[in-house]
Amino acid sequence: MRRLGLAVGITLLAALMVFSYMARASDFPAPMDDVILTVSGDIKANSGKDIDFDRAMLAALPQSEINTGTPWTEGVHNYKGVLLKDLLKAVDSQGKEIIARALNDYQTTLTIQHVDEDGALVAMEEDGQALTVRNKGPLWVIFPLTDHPELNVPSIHSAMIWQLRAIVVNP
Amino acid sequence: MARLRPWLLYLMVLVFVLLSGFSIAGYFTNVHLVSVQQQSSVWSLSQLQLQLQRFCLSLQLYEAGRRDKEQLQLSYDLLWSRVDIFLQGSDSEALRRQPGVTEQITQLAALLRANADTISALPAGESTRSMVLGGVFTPFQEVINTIMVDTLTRSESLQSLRTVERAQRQLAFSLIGLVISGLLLALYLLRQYRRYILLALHDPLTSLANRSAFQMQLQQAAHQPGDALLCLIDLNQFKEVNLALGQAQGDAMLQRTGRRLRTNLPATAVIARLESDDFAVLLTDMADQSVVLCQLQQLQQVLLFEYFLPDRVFQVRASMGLALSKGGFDADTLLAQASMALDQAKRSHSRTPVLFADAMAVAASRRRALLESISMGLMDVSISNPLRLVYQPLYALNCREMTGMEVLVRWQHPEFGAISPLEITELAENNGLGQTYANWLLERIRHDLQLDELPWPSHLRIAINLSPSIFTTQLPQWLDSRLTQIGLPAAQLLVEITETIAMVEFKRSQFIVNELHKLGITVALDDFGTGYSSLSYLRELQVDKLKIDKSFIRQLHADKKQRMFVRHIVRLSHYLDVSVVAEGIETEAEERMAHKLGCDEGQGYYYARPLEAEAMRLRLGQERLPRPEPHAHGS
Repeated sequence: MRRLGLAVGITLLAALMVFSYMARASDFPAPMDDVILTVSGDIKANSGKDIDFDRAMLAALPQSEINTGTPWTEGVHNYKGVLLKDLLKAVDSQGKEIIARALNDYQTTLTIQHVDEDGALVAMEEDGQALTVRNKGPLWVIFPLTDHPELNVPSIHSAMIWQLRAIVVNP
Repeated sequence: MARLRPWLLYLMVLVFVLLSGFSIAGYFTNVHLVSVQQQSSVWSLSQLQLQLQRFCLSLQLYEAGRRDKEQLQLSYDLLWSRVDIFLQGSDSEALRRQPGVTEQITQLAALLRANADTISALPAGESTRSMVLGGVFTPFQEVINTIMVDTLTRSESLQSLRTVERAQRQLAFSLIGLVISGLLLALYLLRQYRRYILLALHDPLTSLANRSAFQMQLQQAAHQPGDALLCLIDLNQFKEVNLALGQAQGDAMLQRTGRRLRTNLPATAVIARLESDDFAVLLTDMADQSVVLCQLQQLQQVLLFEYFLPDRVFQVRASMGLALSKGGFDADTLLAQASMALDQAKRSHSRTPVLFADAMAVAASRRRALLESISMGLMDVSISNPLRLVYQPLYALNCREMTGMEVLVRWQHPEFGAISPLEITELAENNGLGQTYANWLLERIRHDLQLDELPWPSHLRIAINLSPSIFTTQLPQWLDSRLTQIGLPAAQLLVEITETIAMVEFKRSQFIVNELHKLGITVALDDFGTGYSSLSYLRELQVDKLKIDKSFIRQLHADKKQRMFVRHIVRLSHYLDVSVVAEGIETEAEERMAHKLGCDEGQGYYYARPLEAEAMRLRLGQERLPRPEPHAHGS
């Protein structure tokens, strides 16, 4: 009986340690490289503080790809990056509206429909090449226009913000 | 064409709907092209302008040490990106097509690429190289400004000119098509509307007004001052033409009547076909009534149609009844008056138009009253009935024995007095009471025969007169069954028919006479000498008796020609095995002469006036008349 009580005690202690680790894991580490994206607003991760992402941090999140053409490029290209949906999940946000701001201070609003249903992607690479500022990078919000022609409309075009720098999530 | 019409209508509606759809779609396309595309083009250009300004500003600030290298680099990269977007983006495509734009912006892109290293290597505070670079890029601000001003002032004609023009051309075509198909639809509807109005107010056969249109005109005219003349026209024997020559000939005749009415009447006359062969003319604004009456008289002469068939000639004439009003009338009354006049015209076979007179209204109301009375009378066979039968005996001229009697109808009307048998028959015939009248006649005979138990001597024949409407192929069968009910042997019945009845359809008459003979009924031809008096009919019809009309018997002893005529008729009749009756003998002299000329029987006031059933019964006691006294011979 005493040995059983000890085993239970050790198990409980171990579980407590695992939980405390997980709680700390949802806090994001400070970026090691240049910050390319700042997420703020209605987020639960990082104790609700603004989260700065460098390239490596974004690359660590689940990666997705979209093959599509856009009104500003010729032909279909491959875009790789983080789905906005996955990004919001990573920052543990239930927000319904995203204000996106670019390096040149262009600002646009994305809705939860853009995120959940239309499959907005925060692209980091075009055809395997990292996007640069000179080429609408380092982050470009891409929608699958070729596969879903119904998205090829001005309202979506204006949501395809390039040189993305910051995101504010509103509830 | 008539079969095509619904198809055509559907096609027009389809074209209309499709073009409407295209036009609306085209309109929105145009709106989109003109506004959205231009806006996005201008947006792209203004972003380029903004970025260039920022870069130039960054360059100046960097030169002044107020911007760090990183900021300058970002500004430079953003400009680079913006230039590429402008050169590649589809929203700025229209702008790039403007002359010189692509070349100038491409030049800017080339300069950016050429100076990439210079920028990244530019040391802070190095004013000379910064100024050089500023000198390279600043002029492009002016270039982009010019493009911007051109774009905004020259508007969409230079923007997406071709697309807009194409869309507008399509829109124009759609609109023209829309207008045309709309116009066609409207025209078509108007045409149909007119057609329906025409159908509703016109007689399709003659193109004259129809009854309802005429009624309307009449109602209108009724309220206007001034004289109005209403003329009703009826084509006599039109139905016979239809039967004998066919509907097509009948229709052709109606059409010709319509044409003749139009050509022979003033243009102001309202002419209509009311129904079948009834036409009507309404004349107002008559300058001179006598002239109009004269015109109508001429019209009646013109309305004569003759048809020559292998075996006969058809002549169709018109009867015309007129009613005149001196300003303001009641339409129904005028119509009734004209129709009374027409009735009179037809009754009298007038060859000139008959103008309504008040007497006609009296006569018409008398006819109505009589019709009402006779309808009642024919349901009653009792003695008290004012409608009753009388019997006039016939005698053999050689032995002066009674051979039979003719049944005659008498009617003492409480209001109008004695009504002649002719009028009674006419009344029954004209009002569809022919069969009722015949039924009543035989029922009344039965009543009189059964007055007492004594049967009437079996050698006496009872003669009845038949009206035209019951002289049909059903007559023999009907008589047969009636005689059985009455209890009168067929051999005691004599049927009198007139030439007019027999001639309507000769073949049928022959058949009927033949059938009557088979039953044992005797047939006599009545009133011989008043009508056609055709001897060939006499032979063909095979009647048993011929009754010479009283107009030939009267004063027979004084007129040589009349005697000759009667003598030959008698001789010929006897030759054909037909016995002869002299009607209307009033004096002994007439009787003697009739006997001398060979007549077999005589009838008339000389022997007896028509007798009531009771008086007749008394007569039966003395069947043979006494010989006339010798002194009477000398008269």
